[in-house]
Amino acid sequence: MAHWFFDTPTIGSIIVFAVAISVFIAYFRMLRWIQSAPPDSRPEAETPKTDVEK
Amino acid sequence: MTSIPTRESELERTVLEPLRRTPTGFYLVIAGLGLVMLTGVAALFNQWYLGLGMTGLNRPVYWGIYLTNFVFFIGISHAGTLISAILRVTQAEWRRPITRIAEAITFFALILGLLQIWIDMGRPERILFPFLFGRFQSPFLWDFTCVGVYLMSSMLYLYLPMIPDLARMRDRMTDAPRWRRWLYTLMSFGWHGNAEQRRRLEVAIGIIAIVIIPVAVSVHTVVSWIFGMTMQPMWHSTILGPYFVVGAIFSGIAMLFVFMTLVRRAWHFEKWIGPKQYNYLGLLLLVMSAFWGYFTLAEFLTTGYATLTHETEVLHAKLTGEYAPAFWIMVVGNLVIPFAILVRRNGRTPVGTFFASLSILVGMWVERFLIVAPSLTRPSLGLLPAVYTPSLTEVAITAGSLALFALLFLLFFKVFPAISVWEVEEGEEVDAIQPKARELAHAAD
Amino acid sequence: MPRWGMVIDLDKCFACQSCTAACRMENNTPIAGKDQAEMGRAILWNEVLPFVEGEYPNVNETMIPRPCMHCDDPACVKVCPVQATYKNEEGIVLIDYERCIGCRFCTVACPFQVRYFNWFAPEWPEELKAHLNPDPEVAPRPKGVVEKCTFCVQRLRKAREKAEAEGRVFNATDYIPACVETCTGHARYFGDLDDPDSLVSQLAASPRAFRLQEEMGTKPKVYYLKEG
Repeated sequence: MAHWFFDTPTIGSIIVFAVAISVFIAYFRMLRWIQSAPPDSRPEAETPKTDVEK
Repeated sequence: MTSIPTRESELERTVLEPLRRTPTGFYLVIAGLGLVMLTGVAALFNQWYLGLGMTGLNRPVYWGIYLTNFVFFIGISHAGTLISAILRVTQAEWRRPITRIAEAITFFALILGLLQIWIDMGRPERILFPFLFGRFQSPFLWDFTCVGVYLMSSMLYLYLPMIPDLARMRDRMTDAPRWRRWLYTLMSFGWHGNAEQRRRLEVAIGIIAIVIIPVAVSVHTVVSWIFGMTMQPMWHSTILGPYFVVGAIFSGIAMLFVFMTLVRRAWHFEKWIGPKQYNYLGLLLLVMSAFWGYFTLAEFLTTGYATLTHETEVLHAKLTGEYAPAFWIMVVGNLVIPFAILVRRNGRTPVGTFFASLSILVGMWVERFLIVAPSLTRPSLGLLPAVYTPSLTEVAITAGSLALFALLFLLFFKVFPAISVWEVEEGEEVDAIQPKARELAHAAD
Repeated sequence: MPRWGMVIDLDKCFACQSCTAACRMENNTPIAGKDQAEMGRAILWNEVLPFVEGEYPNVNETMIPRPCMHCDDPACVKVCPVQATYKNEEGIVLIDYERCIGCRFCTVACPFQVRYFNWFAPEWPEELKAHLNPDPEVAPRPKGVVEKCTFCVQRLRKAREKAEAEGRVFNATDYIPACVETCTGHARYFGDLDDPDSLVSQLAASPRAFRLQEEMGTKPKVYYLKEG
């Protein structure tokens, strides 16, 4: 059994950090993706349809 | 909808009012809370200086009020996210004015919960050790993993739906102090709010709202597993995970009621936070109360019917022993009072739900205490029943923690709007469209 | 590699508590004082626990000396987040006081309540201070960490050092903890459980032998011999 994996100090820390960092990167990229939405060239863009309107 | 209206609506004016003006009463509240918090801080420094002996803890009752607070605050943190996320995912329209408050409760309660672990440590200066020498076999590491993800998720979940409001404040609050204008500009990161950007924001919110539900469930489950993984009587129980989650959502909604009612009253949000919210959320609270009662019955009956020595001893300590008063406070606070108030339609009013929620918060704190302490007072090996009497240090730190929680909440909403303006506006549009949609559906029939 | 274990013959034990006293002197456990002791904060690595059965007039009291069980599958080691507590190669469960963060997860996980916490910085009356064991391995523990019976692991080190100095091979019988050495009734036996010829392994196989709370499954290495 891979008991050593759970038992060895620092491996736990690495797991915590690995999860935290990957989540952080995912969230950060999500924010960048929102930020990078191209602004309209025309000032009066067509109003988007909300879910309800569809 | 995409462009910000040039004139301030009534909603905007009301919501931004507390950001603009600070009445004397606000300072008084802050000063009062600050005083309580500082007392707690003083008690904490004293405890750090002298040792954990300043608490009422002993052998074998090694865990007490701090762990109770930890479980309680982490439970409260489910308010937000879970409620707001579930309501968002199910598109409950009435959620709109209260999601921001719920999300803020989540974030701050989580911080307070983590703080309790630090307060409880015998060597607080070694706080980083679990991040350096962490062993994954220890349930604490599971906690750090889940709470870490939850902390980031709830922060993002608070932040994302605030971006359009931040952009609006950047444009509107030109008379605000410089640091705040700088903050709004920074935090709205050049938001222009055109159709594409808004679509992306809604997609992101949709993803986070779904992701955060399993994360929240995992957090409270692993909190319960800190207890459940040991072999202590009435801790070592498979129901503990779901029981903690149910209790968390239950106390979370109660905390949401308390804060939203106070904010509504102080900042005059009556027009937006109204009967609909109180009725629907009140029903949800009632359902959670019933769920909690069911879980409690399942736990106590299963333990009580069998005759396992150690389990029975702890059960008797709770039902007929020294913890019986606390047990009945819990039952009355979590079941009797909420049911008496909330079953009736005219009980689900701001006043009714406020008092029902206060009773639940007391009841749920006691419930957490009854999980943590009694199991340890009945050691399995030869010791007499132990007594745990919390000390003044523990009381002061607990009061200080609650005060800090309220302070963070109040100061946050001094700088950021307590109601999500753009979402409520969107809701008004939806309201305007819906009758038409219904007519069309009828015509199609 | 030996697997250290202990056998306590309850027929021979008359609960004189000299084991408790010897342990205190050997291991420098602090004096809690009356008030603290009443609160349940006394630090006694070895305790003699009374188990009362039945009701008057048919009462039977068994006194059971209780050191750390040094379980083969210790519940405390499992839950420690930083491996401050660990089982060494010879089966002794130890604590690294420099590593312990004082979360007290191990103390609530241990089904035998053998783990103690330093609620305050350790203190001794002046008269006792002069008699502290100078061995650095048992230097007083700082406040905020957990401590417990180590089977006097410092004596194991010393026994090995002595054997080496005398130029002979270390023998399992060279090493005994203070409680075993001092035991007035010669009720305690100590040795290598893996050696089939050792006294402890033979006694542990006796029909009188039992272990405390065996049902917990932690595999304690302290055996008791039933009375009578």
